[in-house]
Amino acid sequence: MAWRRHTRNLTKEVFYDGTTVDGTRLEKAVNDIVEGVNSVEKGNTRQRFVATQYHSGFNPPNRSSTNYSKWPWLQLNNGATGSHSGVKPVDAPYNPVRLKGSSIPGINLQEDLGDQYVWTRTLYFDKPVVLHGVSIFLHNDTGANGDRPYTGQSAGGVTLKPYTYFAVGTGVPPQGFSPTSDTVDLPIVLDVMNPGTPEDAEMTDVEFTRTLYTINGEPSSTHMPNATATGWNDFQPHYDSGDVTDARPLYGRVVEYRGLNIPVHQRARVRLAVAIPLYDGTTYTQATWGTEPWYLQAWSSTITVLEEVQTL
Amino acid sequence: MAKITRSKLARGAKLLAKHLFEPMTSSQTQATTANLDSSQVAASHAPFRVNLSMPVLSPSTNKMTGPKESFNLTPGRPFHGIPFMLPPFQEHLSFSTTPRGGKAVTPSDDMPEIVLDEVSFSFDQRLEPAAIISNFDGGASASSANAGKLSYERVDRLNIELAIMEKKPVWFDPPGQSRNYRPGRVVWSGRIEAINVTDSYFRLNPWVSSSINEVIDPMKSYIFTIFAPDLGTADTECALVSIEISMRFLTKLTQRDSGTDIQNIPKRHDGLPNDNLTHANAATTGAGTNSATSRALINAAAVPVAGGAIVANDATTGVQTSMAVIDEMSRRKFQGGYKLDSDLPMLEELKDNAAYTVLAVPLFNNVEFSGMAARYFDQQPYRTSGAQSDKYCIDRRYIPIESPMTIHHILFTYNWMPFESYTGATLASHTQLPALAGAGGGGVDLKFELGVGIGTGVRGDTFGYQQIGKLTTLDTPQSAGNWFGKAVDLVGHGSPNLLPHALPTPTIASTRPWNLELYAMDLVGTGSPSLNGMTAQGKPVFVGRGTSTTASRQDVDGGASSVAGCEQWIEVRGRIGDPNASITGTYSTSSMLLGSGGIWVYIIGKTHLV
Repeated sequence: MAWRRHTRNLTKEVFYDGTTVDGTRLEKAVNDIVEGVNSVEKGNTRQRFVATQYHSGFNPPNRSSTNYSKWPWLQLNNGATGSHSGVKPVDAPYNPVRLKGSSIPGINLQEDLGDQYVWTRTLYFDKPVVLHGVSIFLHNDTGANGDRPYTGQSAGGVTLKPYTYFAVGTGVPPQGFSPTSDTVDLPIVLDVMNPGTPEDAEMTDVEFTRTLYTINGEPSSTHMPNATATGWNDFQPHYDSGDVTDARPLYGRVVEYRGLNIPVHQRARVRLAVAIPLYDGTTYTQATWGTEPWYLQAWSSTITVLEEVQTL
Repeated sequence: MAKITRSKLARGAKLLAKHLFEPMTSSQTQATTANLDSSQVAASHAPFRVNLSMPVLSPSTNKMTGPKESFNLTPGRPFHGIPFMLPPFQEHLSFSTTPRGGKAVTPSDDMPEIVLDEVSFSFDQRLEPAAIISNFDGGASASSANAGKLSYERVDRLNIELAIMEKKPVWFDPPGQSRNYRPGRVVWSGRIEAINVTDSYFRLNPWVSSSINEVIDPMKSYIFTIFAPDLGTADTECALVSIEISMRFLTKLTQRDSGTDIQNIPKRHDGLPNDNLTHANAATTGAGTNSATSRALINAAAVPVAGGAIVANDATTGVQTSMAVIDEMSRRKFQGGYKLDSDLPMLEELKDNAAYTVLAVPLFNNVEFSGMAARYFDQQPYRTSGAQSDKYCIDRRYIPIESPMTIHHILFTYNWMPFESYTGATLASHTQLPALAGAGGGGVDLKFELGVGIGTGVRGDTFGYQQIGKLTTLDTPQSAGNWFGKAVDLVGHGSPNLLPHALPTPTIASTRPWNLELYAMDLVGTGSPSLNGMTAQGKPVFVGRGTSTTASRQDVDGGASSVAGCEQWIEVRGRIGDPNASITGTYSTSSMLLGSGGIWVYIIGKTHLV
C-alpha cells in the first residue's frame, strides 16, 4: 500500500476539538465521504476479480482406423532431421527447441534420439490477470473391454500397466529405470513470452511447470469407480457406446492445480504446452507410449485466470 | 437504491445536522443493507470471454468456401463458422407467442448490456516463421509424409480473415415459415496478413483486435467466421493447428441469484447477503482487520437533535466519529461476491456482485477427418462392431469447477459443414445429409444425445454425478419435428452450392438452405422460460465447490443432489448413432453425420466476484 500521511482512507480532512473547522473543509470532507460511497474505487472493494476458463479437449481418433491425423500434436524439435519440408532460411530453425524444461530421460533432441510432440495453446492478455488454475486431464478408460480406445498404453490387450517403460518393441528403459518403472515423461509447461523477444523460446518466463513426475502418481481417483455404475449415480446420456459399455466412469490421470495466484503482466502472451514422448524404439524402449502416443488417451485442458473488473 | 444525494454546504449557510450526518447515515444504511449497486462502483464492468479452441483447420477438413472463390481462382476455403448467442438471464427473458406462431420478446431494461471488447486469435507455428503442412498435402490422400512439418516457403499462405456476423434467429419466425438463414450484418472483422506472421523476430501470433466497443444484442445469434483462402492450392495444403479464439466481452455487474428456488444453492445462505450475520448484530464497522479501531455504527444517539450542538470529535456525537465509521468500512474494504468454496463474506455491502459468463465446451472436434461420415463410422472411438444398430460414437469433456456460478442457459450447436475423407484410394467430399444408400437417398434415424452433469470424485473416495442439463435428443435430421424444428437458429454460412443436400446428386429442391444449427438445452426442473420456447426449463442451477459448511444444498430437479454439494467438475457428454439401423452398410457412405469442427456447448450464467 502506498505511504499515506494519516490513516484516513476516503478523506484527508480530520476534525478535532481545538483545530480550525471551516465550511469549506467540512464540505470537502462530506463530499469525499459521499463520493467514496457513490463511486467506490476498485481498491476499496475486497472481491474484484471474476474467473475466466479457457477449456479445450478432444477424443483423438481411433489408432486402428485409416487415420493419419495426429493434430494438434506437433514436433518439439524444430531442428530434427526431416522436421521441415522445402527450402528453409539460412538461419532457420530460429528455435531449434521450442520449449524449456521439457527434457526427459531417453530422449536426446541434440542427437536426434527420439522426439517429443507438443500440444500448445497460446493465449493473449491485454490487461494484467492472475493465473489461478491449470488442469490437464488424461482420460483413460476403465473396465475390461479389450476394444476400449484410451487405455493409456499401446501394446494391445488390457492388462499392461499404462505409462511404464515396458518394452513393447526393442530397446531398453533409460538409465535408472526398469521395464516396470512408471514413466516420468509428460512435461507440462506454462510460460509467458518475453515482451522484448517474443519469439525466442530461450527467453520465456516459465510460470508453472510439472516435469519428471510420475504420471501414474496422479490418478484421478483413489477409489476406482465401478465400471457399470454400481454404487454411484450416473447422468444421461451414459458414457456408453453400446459396444464399449464399461467406459462410463470418468477416470485417468490428472494434473490439476488451483490457487496458483501467479500474476501475469499486461499484453502478455501465455503458452500452455503438454509434451508427449516418441522414443526412438531402438536405443531406448518406446515404453507403453508406442509409436503413436497421441492416440492413447483423451484430453481435457483448462486454464483458469482471474480478470479484474474495469470501467467500460 | 441509488447514489446518495445530500444538501450542499453553501457559503454562509447555517450548519445543520443534516449537512453532516444525513450523508453519513445514508451511506451507512446503504452499506449495511448490502445496497451499494453497480452505479456506485467505479469499476462497474466485468469481463467474460467466449473461448473457442480447435485442434486443426485446413482446406480439406473444412471445404466450405467463402465469398472470394468466384473471382480470385483460389480454392477459397476453409470458410469455417461457429455460431453462438448471448441470451438474457432467465429473469430477463420474457416472450410471448404471436398469433402466427412466431415469438415476440419483451426486452428487459435490467438486462446488463454486453459489449464486445476484444478478439484474439492464435495458432501453432512451432515458434517459427513458417506454415504447418496438412496431412492432405499432395492432394491424393490424407497421409502426406510431410504432415506436421514446417514449411518456410508457404508462410505466405497464412492470410486469415476473421469476422463476427449477426443474425436474427429463426426462432422468432412462425414455425416452418422462416426464410431467414443468412447472417445479415458484420459486427466486427479483422484480417491477419501473412506478412504479420513471417518475421523471425516478431510475429502477430496471437493476433489481437482490442477496444472494439460493439454492443451485442442478446436476442441475436452470432457466427464467428474464420476464412483462410490461401491455405491450399490444387495439390498443396497447409493447416492451422491448435487455434485459440478468445472473444472478450464486458458487461455491467448485476445482482446475484438468491432464494430457495435457486437449485443446488447452499442452504447456509441461499445467496442472500448478511444472512448469517448483520452489521447491526456485529455492532461495529468490522474494522479491526485493517485498522486497530473497531467503531460502533452510527446510531440515533450519534446524530444531534435539531438545533443541537454539532461538535467535532465527541466520542459519540462527533462529526469526526461518524465520518470515521464510513471511512473504516471502506478501509476494511466493501465486500460482495463469493468465496471459492461457495460461501459468502460474513458481512457484505455490495449489491451487484455477479456478472455474465460463458463456458464454451467442444465435443467431437477432433474426429478423424474433422467431421464424421458414415464411411468408417464403425472405426470411430468406442465403435468395435460393424453392422449393428444402437451403437454410438461418444465424447465427453471434464471442466474443473473453480469459481461458483449459477447456470441460466445451455446452448449447443450442430453443423453440416462439408469436409473431405480418404476412402483408401481417393479423397471424397461429404456434403450429403445422412441418408440410406442408393440414388433415392431417404431419411434415417440418426440420433444425437447431449447432457450436462456435475461430478464428484476427483482424488476422492467417492464417485457420482448429478444431472443439471436435461438429456436432449435430436432425432432424424431430415424431419423437422425432432431435429431442426427445435432450433433456436438455423444459419446458411458460405457458398450455397456447398450447403447440405438430401440426395447424392444435389438439386435445388433437395438442398437444405442452412448448415449451422443452434439449439437450447433445458436445465433440469421446471418453472423458467427456455430459449427454444418448446418446453419449460428449471430455475438457475448453482454450481460451486463445497466444504462441510456449504455442502448442504437446496434441491436439484426436485430432490437432493446426488453429489451432495461436493461437485468438483462439470461434465459434458454427447452420443451420435442410430438406434434402429446399422450406419455401416445401411447409410450411404457419403453421408455426413456431423460436419467439420464438431459441436460446441455453451454453458451460460452468472459468475461472481471473488
